[in-house]
Amino acid sequence: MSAAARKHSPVEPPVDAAADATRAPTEGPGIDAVSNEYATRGAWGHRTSRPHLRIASPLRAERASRGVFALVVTGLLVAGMVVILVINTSLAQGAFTISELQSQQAALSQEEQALSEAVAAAGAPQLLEQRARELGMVPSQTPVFLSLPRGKVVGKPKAAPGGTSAIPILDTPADATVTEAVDNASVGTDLPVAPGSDYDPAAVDAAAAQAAAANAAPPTRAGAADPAMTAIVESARGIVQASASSESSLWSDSTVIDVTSQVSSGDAGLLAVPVR
Amino acid sequence: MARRGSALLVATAVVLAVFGLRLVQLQAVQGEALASAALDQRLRTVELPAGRGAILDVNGEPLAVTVEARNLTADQTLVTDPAMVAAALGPILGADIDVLATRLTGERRFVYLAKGLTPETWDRISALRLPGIFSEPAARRIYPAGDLAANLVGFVGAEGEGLGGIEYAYQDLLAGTPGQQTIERGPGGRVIPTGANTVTDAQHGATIMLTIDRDIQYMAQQAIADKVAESRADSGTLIVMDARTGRILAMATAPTFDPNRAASYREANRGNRALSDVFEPGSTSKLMTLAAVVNEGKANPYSAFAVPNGLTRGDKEFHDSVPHGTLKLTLAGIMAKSSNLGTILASERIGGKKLYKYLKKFGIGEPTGLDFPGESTGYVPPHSEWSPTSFPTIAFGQGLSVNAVQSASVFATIANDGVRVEPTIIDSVILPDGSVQELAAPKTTRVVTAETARQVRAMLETVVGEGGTAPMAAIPGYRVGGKTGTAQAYSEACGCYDDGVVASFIGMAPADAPELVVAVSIFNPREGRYGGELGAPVFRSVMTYALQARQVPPTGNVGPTLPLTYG
Repeated sequence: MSAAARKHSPVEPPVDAAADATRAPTEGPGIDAVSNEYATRGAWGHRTSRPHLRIASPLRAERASRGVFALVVTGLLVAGMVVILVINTSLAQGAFTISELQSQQAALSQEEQALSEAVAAAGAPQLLEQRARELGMVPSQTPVFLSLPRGKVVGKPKAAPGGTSAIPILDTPADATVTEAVDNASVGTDLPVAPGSDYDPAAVDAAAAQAAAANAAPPTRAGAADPAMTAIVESARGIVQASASSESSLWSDSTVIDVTSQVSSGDAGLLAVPVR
Repeated sequence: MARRGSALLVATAVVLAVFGLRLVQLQAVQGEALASAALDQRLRTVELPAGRGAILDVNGEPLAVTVEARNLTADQTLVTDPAMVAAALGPILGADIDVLATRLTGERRFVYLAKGLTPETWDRISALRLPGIFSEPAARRIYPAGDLAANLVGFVGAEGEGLGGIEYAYQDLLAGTPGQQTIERGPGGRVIPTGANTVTDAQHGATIMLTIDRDIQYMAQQAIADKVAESRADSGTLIVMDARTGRILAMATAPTFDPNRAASYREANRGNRALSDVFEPGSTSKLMTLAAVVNEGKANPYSAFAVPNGLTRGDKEFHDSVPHGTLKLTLAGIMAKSSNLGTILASERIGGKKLYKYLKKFGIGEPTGLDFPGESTGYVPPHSEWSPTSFPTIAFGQGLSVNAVQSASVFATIANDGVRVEPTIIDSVILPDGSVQELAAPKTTRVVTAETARQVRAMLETVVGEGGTAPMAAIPGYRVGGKTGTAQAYSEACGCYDDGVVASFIGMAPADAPELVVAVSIFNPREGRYGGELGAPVFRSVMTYALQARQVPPTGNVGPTLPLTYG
């Protein structure tokens, strides 16, 4: 207890002194009455002569700043945790998204792989030959070429032996009008053809010329060899371009009749016409 | 009271000191080791497999590709009921259930159950939710075209490494270099997002584009396989070559194999006979002899030779395949009738030394330049080692050996106006970044003059014509030149010439402006014997198709009618 009292004692007098100091100027005559009392505290009495000095309570100030500090720290802590939580959540979310997308990618590439395997299998020569034979086609024994732009048949066309005529896949444009012949030629793959009995070379020639033009292969080269053909090719191109807006234009891109080389032409490759 | 306080103080100090020391020990002394051990525990290094390059035909059609697959693995400690799991897996894997069960029993944490499953198969297995059964991603080599060009393309082993053909020869190029990814993972195996993550990308393998045309290859393979079966021969090879460039368009052998299941075929059928098997060329070799004679200016197609029934050279009497009186043959007639004795007489006009020089220039006994594994170069004995009988024997094609590519190349040389172009099989190499690496132009050598080549081609046409040995090789509308060969085959078994023969036909078309060379060899046929009857029809059907596929029209010219006899 004594310790506590000691501790407080230096604090108390300034409080009194301050009270006295406020009183002092008004108590001029009563100074003697209290002089004894103040004599023992001369030092204090002397200080009271500074009027406006006050000492703020250190206790109260400490308490206030601690509270703010705690609040700030807690706030920072909470905010930090929230930020970390948010970051972690978004990272985890990202990881989940990644693994989800990865599995999606894996599934899609599996599908792609399966599909391209199926395409490769369907396009294998073995299968193509088998399918063609099912359609009654047989390999051609006599290569025949249609020479453009003259429309000359190079080689001796002959029906291949051993075919069946169940389905007439490729037809000779024997009675075909020019327009039909154009369509046939545009399809372009029915060369070499086995001419029928009333085979009309003129129709084939015209068709071939038009097909050549439709191919947008440089006709100038072909034409240069034979100026007379240029006119035919030009007019044929007009016809074909007119019909290009129709259905046949679907086929014109895939047509392969080579006029860049003077004599060669497209041919049916593996399979020729069925025997009738 | 003071004593208790100081005791507490001391105790606290001691405890703190212990903590401190331990801290120093952990952080300063063992710090690095422990930290790296901890990191090691979290780090997993995963190999990033390099994709194996594809093998394509000249049009980019796939002959060998690598696809995704799964390896099936098991953790034996997690498999509680091996018998049940094995019974479930057996039918899907097509594996023996007992073997599987053994494989599933034990304490090992990681065993392979099957490799190279399709993703679909793994989906079926994973749907069963079997405990302890896992999979790892892997790659599977597939050959979409099956046995097409299989002997050339080759095959891979269980680890995906090339074991034959192009797969083996270009293993390094195709395989690439695997990469590595090191990632930090938490206890659950999930990747720690902020953790270490270092990636070394895999260097994928390059894609190899061959000069092979898939469609011609298919026709060639069908034709030779059919003929080998029909003639009950041991084997056969067929080569289609671009006469101008030496590019090989088809290289077929029979019997062949399916590289998708390479292990189940005999080793002999997995190699490439067109390069590994050498044989005595026989009469097809007369082309070289007669070309040499013409090129030296010692004869022309009209030169006259009186060919007797027999000729004695050294200690041996030589005959033609059929006995005859003295024949009055032209040089063209010697070629058309394939007269051994006529060839000997003609070759004697230039002598053995010159003949040897020409044989070497034609590439006999030299590597083809294809750098193919298991290639054998054939052999012609050096001129210094020739015995008196060697010269006549070698002149008509016995006593030296060639492989099928070499013999095709000889005809391609004549087709290409006398310039030999080293055969090629690789069109280009496509690097993973998409850039195309063209290969160096093949070596070319002039062997005979263009005029000699033209005259020899005219003589080759007589072989296919009337009175020749191979009228069956003729293709309507085209000028065709070629040569038959029916060579005695040396038998390793008896160390002698037994009944076996190599029946061959090598030819070109169009003969006046050759584009294609087709070489057919049939080994040890039992039905039929002669090159003209076995080889020529195969030549004809393959050449007919190849001419159409390559869009080679007939030249429309009429061939010369060389006299086969005189007087």
